[in-house]
Amino acid sequence: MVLWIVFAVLTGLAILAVLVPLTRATTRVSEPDRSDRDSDIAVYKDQLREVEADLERGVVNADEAEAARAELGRRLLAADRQARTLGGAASLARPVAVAVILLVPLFSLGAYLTLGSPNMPGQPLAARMDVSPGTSPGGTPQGQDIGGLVAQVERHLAAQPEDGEGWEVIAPVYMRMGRFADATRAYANAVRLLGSTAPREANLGEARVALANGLVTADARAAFERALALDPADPKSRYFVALAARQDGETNKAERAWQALLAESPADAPWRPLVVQRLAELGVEPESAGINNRDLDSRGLDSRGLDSPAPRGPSAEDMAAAAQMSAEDRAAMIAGMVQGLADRLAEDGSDLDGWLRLARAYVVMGEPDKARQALSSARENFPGDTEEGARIDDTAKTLGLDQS
Amino acid sequence: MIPEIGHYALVLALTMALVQSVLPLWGARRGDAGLMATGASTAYAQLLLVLVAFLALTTAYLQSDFSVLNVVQNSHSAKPLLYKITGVWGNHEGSMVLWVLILVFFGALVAIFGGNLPEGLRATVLSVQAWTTAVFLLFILATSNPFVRLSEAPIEGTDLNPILQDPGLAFHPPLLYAGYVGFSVAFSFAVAALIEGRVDAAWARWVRPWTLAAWCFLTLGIALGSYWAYYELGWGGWWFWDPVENASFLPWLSGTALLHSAIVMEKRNALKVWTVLLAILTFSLSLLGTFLVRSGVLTSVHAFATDPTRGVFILLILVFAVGGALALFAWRASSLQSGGLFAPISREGALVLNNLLLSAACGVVLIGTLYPLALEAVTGQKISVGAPFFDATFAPIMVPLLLAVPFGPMLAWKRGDLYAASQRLFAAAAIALVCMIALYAVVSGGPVLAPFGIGLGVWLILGAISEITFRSKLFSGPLSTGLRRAAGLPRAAWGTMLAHAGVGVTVIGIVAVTAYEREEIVSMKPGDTLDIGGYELTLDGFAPREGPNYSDTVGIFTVRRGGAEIGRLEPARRVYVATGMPTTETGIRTQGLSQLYVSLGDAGSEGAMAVRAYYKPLVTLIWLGPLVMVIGGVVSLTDRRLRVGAPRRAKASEKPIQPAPAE
Repeated sequence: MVLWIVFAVLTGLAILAVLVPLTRATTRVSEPDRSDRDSDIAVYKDQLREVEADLERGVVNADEAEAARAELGRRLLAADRQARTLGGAASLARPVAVAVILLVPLFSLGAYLTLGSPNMPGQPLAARMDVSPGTSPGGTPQGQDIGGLVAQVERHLAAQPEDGEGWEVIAPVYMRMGRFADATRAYANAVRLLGSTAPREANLGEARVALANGLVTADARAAFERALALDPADPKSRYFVALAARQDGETNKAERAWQALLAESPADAPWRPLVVQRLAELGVEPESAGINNRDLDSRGLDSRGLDSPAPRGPSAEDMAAAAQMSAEDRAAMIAGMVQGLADRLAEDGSDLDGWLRLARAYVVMGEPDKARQALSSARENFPGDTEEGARIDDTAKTLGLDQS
Repeated sequence: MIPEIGHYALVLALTMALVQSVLPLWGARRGDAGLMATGASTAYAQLLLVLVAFLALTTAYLQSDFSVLNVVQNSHSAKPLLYKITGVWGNHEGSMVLWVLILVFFGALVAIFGGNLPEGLRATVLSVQAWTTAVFLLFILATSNPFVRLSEAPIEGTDLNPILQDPGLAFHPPLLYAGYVGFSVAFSFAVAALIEGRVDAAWARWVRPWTLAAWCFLTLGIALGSYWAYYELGWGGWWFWDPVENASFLPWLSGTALLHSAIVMEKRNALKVWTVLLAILTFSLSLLGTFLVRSGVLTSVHAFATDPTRGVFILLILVFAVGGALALFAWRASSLQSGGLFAPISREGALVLNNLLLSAACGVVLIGTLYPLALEAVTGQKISVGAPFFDATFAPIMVPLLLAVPFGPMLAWKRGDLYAASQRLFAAAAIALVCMIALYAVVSGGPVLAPFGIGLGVWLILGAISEITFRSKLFSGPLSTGLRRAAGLPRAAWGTMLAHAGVGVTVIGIVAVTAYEREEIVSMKPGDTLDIGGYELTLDGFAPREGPNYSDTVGIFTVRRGGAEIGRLEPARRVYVATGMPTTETGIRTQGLSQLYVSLGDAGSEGAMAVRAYYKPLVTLIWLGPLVMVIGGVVSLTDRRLRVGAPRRAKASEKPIQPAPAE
């Protein structure tokens, strides 16, 4: 409401700015030829006075003053000759006033309503910070709250930048939010303030890798090496040092390191699938016994190498993040990715490979009914006796979903 | 609510501009006082409305209101207060609002101070000014709206381009825009004169001070921009002939020409047509500059083609403004009466020479700036036109101009005496020559032409001073009378002297740095020492340092001269938190007029770091010169006298110069 009152006041002022001079000056219709010539003559008379003043001050001498006067005299005569004839005209004040009163608000409001968002309140940051979690207006409440909490922690850290615990708490949150630069800084501060430990250094290195789009930079590698100096068994650092070797083209070294990591890892270690997948990318079978990679079918999740980015797949960082998560978190992450795939296919069902991958994923997650559902949706999208149909049937058979 | 008020105010300002572009002009044609009177009040209304819009946007920045897209894209809650404010115009949308704010401010000034203008002329000028305002407001609302809202406000913004987070940026664009936009007044006057078909006496009185004010702002803006590039970019250069720099230099060159031809017009009623044309060209070059910088055409012609809305819009503005004004000029110029006559050797003649050389220089810079763009657009070939081209073309035009500058004020109006002028300048020329020879004797090394360049600077300064000493007859009587007479000289004369001397100061700075600079690029470890220009720089070590929204790696240098410690330099590599973008912070130490300049490069192995160190003799003169020029301009602006060029009568030169009246 206040907004509309302000609009009305502004519009009123604008209209008055036109109407007041329009109606006030209307009583006299000027004679432009007179006024123009008068103003010229006034200027020349001023100039003549100026010449006198200059002469008195001694800036010009008598001869120069005389010449200047003659020059001005010539200009005065010329100005007289230039008089124009333009008759006075009937006043247009009334029709113009009506047009202004109608058109100014009409045009302004029309243009504003197509461009503006009058119903949207301003959201100054300070005001949003004061709102307690859960009651924040608009937007997705939960997302807003996490963002708000992060912002509150940030505020705290801005005030007390030496609080190492605070940095350590917020760092993994930054990683999840994809704010890798902030995560790197937070981990670096944690290391600086709380001291160097293997997990902290490894996390710092990982954040740096994520920041460099999956590339193990010299900085990141230095962090991993510091971690390994503190704890030679630290799996995350071992994994990334091997990845660095692979990125340097030392495939054999990378392979040996990953094989060793697998051999020394427990069968249910969360990083196992990732390592197995890396080895698969090198075209190598894992040597170590007790391989337990069935819970994460590498083909089913279609992870990709760093060199061949494919749309919509999880990134190397996601995989790295998966490696360090607890089993529950990882299951949730996979479920989220599968749900994303399902949503996409519901919108656009023309991706056959997508359907097959979705079915496999559901089987892996122990939900054969959903897998069947996915395959039948795929058949609806690829009806008839085609090659695609044959592939769908084949997949159903291999997954043990054949209903016939 | 506040952003929406700003948005509505901007739309309403557009409406007012449309009203103003029609009613006063119509009134002037019909002779209707009521319609003409709406010109002034709508100008005030526009100033008020655009100010409301600008303040609303500033408030959104100060409050970090991330429901405004523009704020999200260019601000961050952790940014220091100063950069929250400068962030308002540190981006395309906000800077266009500032552009229009200055435009309507000048429009309101015309309305306030235009009381002594003929009513018809004032109304027409205000209408023409409103055309420009309306077109730019339309541009903002249609393609660059700063008040676009987000329904889900993010919790944090993406920060301002870190290279722009600098005090230099706080003042550079507003000054530059005040310069660009100030020329719009001269443009509006020129177009109004063409529409009216005559140049009033008041016209001439008006154009010079407006041009001078705009010129002062532009000079300051360019000098500040140059100094900003010098210390922020870390390359040690102060002018790169970069298209963005040229874009501001072009209107400066033609604006300087306009300033001088406006003097002729004001004093002698001559050169009317040429002044009108220059006024149109100067503002056209300002628009061209805006187009080059704002359309994205500079980054790549192809980038421009991929998102052409903005660029095409500004291009259309450019075509209509320039094409329309020039067509009007072609049509109406013949109806303007030409004024006083003058001999080739005269003050007017000297100013015409100045105009010709400045216009030629302007043309050269224009070609050097646009040719690569045209070539890329036509053939796809990318070339860069840099310093070698401009050294070979721009310098040869400027040297004769600078040689001629001291003669101009020495010549009389209408018909001058070159021989007498030369005699008066004899002392200045002799001292400049001695300086030149002394430099040849003392300095070994450096380019052969360098002492000549320094001598040229000395000639300009002394030539400017000679004019004052001659006019006040300082040495032809008791010193006290001479000084009193000098103080009594019109302030415009002092302004001329300061502005011309400022050019000399700049020339000396440029030549000294170009010819005698020392540069070292080495890899240094803590403990290493570097000798440069008679100073020893010792790298004590590196230290981290946290700022409000950045973290620095500072290199700490101790500066010694002859073993004695004279200070410290702390250049840094800075990384901004939000963008992760690294920038350099140079360490600069001013010794007298010279500077030591150190910037850090990339980190090498084993704790070493690349270090660029420069010793720049007399470098500060490059920016002190423009400052002196601007002071000259301001002094001249305070001279509110009416001017009449007092021509010397043909036989006057035979008479002895009259003694000054006893005071």
